[in-house]
Amino acid sequence: MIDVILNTIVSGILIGGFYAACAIGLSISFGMLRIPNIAHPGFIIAGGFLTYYFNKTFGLDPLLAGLLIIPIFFAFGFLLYRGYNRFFESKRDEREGQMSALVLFFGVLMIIEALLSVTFGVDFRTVTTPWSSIVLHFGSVGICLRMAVPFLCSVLMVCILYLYFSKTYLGLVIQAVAQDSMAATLIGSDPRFAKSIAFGISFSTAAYAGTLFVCLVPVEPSLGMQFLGRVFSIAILGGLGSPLGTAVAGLIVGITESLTTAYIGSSWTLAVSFILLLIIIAVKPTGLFRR
Amino acid sequence: MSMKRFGLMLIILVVVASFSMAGGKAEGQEGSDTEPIRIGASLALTGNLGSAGKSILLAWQICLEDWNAKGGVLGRPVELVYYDDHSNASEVPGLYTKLITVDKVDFIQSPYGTPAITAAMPIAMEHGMVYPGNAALAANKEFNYKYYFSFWPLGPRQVEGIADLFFEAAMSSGEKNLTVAILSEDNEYGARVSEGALESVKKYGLKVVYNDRYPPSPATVDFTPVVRAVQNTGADLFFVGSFPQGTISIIKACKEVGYKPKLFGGAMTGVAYAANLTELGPLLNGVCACCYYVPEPTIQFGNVEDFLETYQSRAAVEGVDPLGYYNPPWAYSSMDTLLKAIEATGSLDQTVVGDYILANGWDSVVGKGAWDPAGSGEIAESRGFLVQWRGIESNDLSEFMVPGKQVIIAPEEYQSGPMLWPSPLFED
Amino acid sequence: MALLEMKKISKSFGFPALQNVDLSIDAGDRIGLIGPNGSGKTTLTNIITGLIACDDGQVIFENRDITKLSAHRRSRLGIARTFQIPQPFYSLIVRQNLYIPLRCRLKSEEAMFTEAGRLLDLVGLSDKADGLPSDLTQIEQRELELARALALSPRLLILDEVLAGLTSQEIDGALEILRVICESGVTVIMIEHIMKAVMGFCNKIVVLNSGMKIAEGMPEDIFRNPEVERAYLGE
Ligand SMILES: Nc1ncnc2c1ncn2[C@@H]1O[C@H](COP(=O)(O)OP(=O)(O)O)[C@@H](O)[C@H]1O
Ligand SMILES: [Mg+2]
Repeated sequence: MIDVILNTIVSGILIGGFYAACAIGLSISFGMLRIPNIAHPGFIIAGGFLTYYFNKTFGLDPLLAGLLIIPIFFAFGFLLYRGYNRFFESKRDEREGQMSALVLFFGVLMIIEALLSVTFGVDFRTVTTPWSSIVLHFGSVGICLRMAVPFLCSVLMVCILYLYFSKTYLGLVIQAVAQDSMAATLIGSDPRFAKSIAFGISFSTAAYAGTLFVCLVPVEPSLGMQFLGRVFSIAILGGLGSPLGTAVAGLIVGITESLTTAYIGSSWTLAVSFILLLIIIAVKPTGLFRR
Repeated sequence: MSMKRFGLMLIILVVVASFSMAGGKAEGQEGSDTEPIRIGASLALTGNLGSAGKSILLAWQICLEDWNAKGGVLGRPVELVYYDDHSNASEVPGLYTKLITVDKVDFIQSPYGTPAITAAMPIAMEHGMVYPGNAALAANKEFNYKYYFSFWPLGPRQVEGIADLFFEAAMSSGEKNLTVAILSEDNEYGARVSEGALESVKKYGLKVVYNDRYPPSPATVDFTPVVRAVQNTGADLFFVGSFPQGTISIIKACKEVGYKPKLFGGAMTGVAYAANLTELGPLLNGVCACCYYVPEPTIQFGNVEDFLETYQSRAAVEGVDPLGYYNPPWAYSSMDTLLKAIEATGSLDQTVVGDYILANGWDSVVGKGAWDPAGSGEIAESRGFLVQWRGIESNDLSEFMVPGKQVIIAPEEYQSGPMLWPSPLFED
Repeated sequence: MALLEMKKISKSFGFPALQNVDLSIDAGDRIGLIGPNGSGKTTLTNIITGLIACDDGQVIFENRDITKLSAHRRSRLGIARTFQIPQPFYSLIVRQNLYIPLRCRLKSEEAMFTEAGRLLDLVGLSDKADGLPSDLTQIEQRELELARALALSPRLLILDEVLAGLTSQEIDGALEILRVICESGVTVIMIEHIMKAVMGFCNKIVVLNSGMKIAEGMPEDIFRNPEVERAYLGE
């Protein structure tokens, strides 16, 4: 009995970590930069497919392939922000800019899906590695590396981002610019540069989350669109803009889903985690960790 | 709004629009004097059912090319008008209304899959269109539409059909007091599979210890909790009704949590696709699933091998599922039967053509047969069978193109080898 | 030599918010910028700091034309300001709030730590260095704002109504701090409604009305100027 509970919770923790990796970039772009990048899950899937490509073509370990695509995504995010800033943000009316940005990113999401479909086909793709099928046993708890490795990578990712934002100078600047761009400008910070970096980071996390995604389960191009809701709710639950909050939110959702599946029934999984989200948002509208 | 800004918005809108509005495409012979006969359909060309949709499209295209090469139908070329429904059943009714009332196509073909086919059924009925179905489970159950013709090999006992095969195989082991777990995806397909499984279980007097549905992918990313919940019941038979992503993940999860039911599988879709077969490789050993074509000697359906040869040579080039064991032969037959009926009756009238198909049955690369006399629109006798994989040693596609590895264990008439009991799951 | 020179500055928001304003500020000056609400004081400050661009005119700082320079570069040249409503970075602790400007001129963590300590000491916040800004009182937040501006080691400091809402005792305390700052060589522009403070602190006063500079001079002279009286004091 206790074995089942333990195993269920462990599963929840493992998948929750992965959820956090998916949501953390959105937490940065939407939470810190106020850029409604609903194409984020699309970039996650794109990262997954690129990882798949490098793995299949050059036989690279996916975790390594993921590291290789990070710079590409970073540069893309960096430049995309430049364009975004020029055409959408430097408008006097922020609302209007954001509304048209929503249209933009919706278009981007669909373009990504179309490009992936054309390039890679619409089949489900996944990466299997020598470690994928290994299951480690700790007493009665079984941990499969297919789940555990993405979890560990996600934890690492959250830690790096947390340290980056709270300890490095540029991280502090990004936080400052995110909160009050004007005040930060007047004490010497270049908001456009800081935001470009932050958007690049957001894209990098999408790339690596995609890497973890193809290691976990098969993906196909339209998964991004379908994954949008969950990624957004975790980012909001965590309190937008907080890496640790996103991690905790991911774990909460993961564990809740896992326990619901095991003890209430898998058909209730979505309903229960949604209700949980509503309750937390009702009690604490800014999410768990916003300060 | 400044001019530059306006221009930018316009570009974005155009790009978005061109991707989101289903761009209707017409294919066929061009430059012909005679007006082509136009067949309309929507297909899941993108989205989670894209693999199936694309392979169906290719089968149809091959069929039309065959006909056009012979001089067309009634001396007129045949042309396909199709839209992408993005695997989203809610887009389907609108697209069929458009096909019938705006594009004014002469005939329609159904979209792919139970949810989509059910969604367009009322439209087809309203306009009295002949409605050849492409892969649905008991889609006509609530409608009883006279001109719905299901090109799907399960026969009249649709919902129970797959389950019957599975539980019959289990019963043939001679073991008593077997317990059953039923798990299916929370959609129209899964609902029908579960329903059928419960019926079937009753028939064989088995005991159900677990019965649940999981949220459709990608809502469920991690299947280990649900599989562990099943494992915890200690069920001997694990019957699964899943869509492709679930299929792969559930098999992996079983292996990871170390759950080895005596028989495992059933209505898991997607295992017939090359991408999934090669993904799973040796993990498939011992797993059972309902299939419609495998290269086993007991399978002699019409000239399906010839068709598959053409299909496979084309699919490799076009990046579509390279095996074509699942939908394509039936999709070809669906189109072919329709065109044959038009040619035979010399008519474009829905009633005339519909009555002809009803009376003369189906006849194409998958062989021929009649329709269910009870009027369900299904084929009169089931052509489905249960495969149990064995001896798969690698993730290479060639593993799945030779006999002896995908052994048919039920029904008796197609059986190509003995059932392995209990299933030697995941052993290589 | 003038530290800051503004030549024929004009700005329109559909109506003329500033018209042909000339201003020359010498190093060491303590300028009081006064005028009725809506007269263009904040707009003028925004043009100096680079938050908004002027339609016409030239801004020259230390003999360099900075009219086209972006705001963050101007601040690195030594132009700092405070806001009417304090705007600390709430997610950073008080000390880290200072790190952002400090980094523009200091490279090592140690140097930043020491300098931040000195500045917080100056404004009287040294015991709150590791707390969050949200735990500070309104006045303390203003002190933090001042420290943050000073962290740039500015040549020119613009204070936008820093004294509003303070008791006269608190005003005296604040002016004391400001005097220390001036003595360290910082030139100050003070936008203020509290005349007593302006009179006591500034050596020169500039009066704006409806976007136009209507008077400029020593405090005593300004208050004898009939035009100023009409436009501003006479209300
Ligand atoms: N960004 C802006 N857009 C439009 N009008 C503005 C803007 N900023 C200031 N104004 C207007 O310009 C005039 C001068 O404002 P301001 O410089 O804030 O005056 P003060 O600080 O002297 O009270 C006011 O009428 C104000 O409403
Ligand atoms: Mg003002």
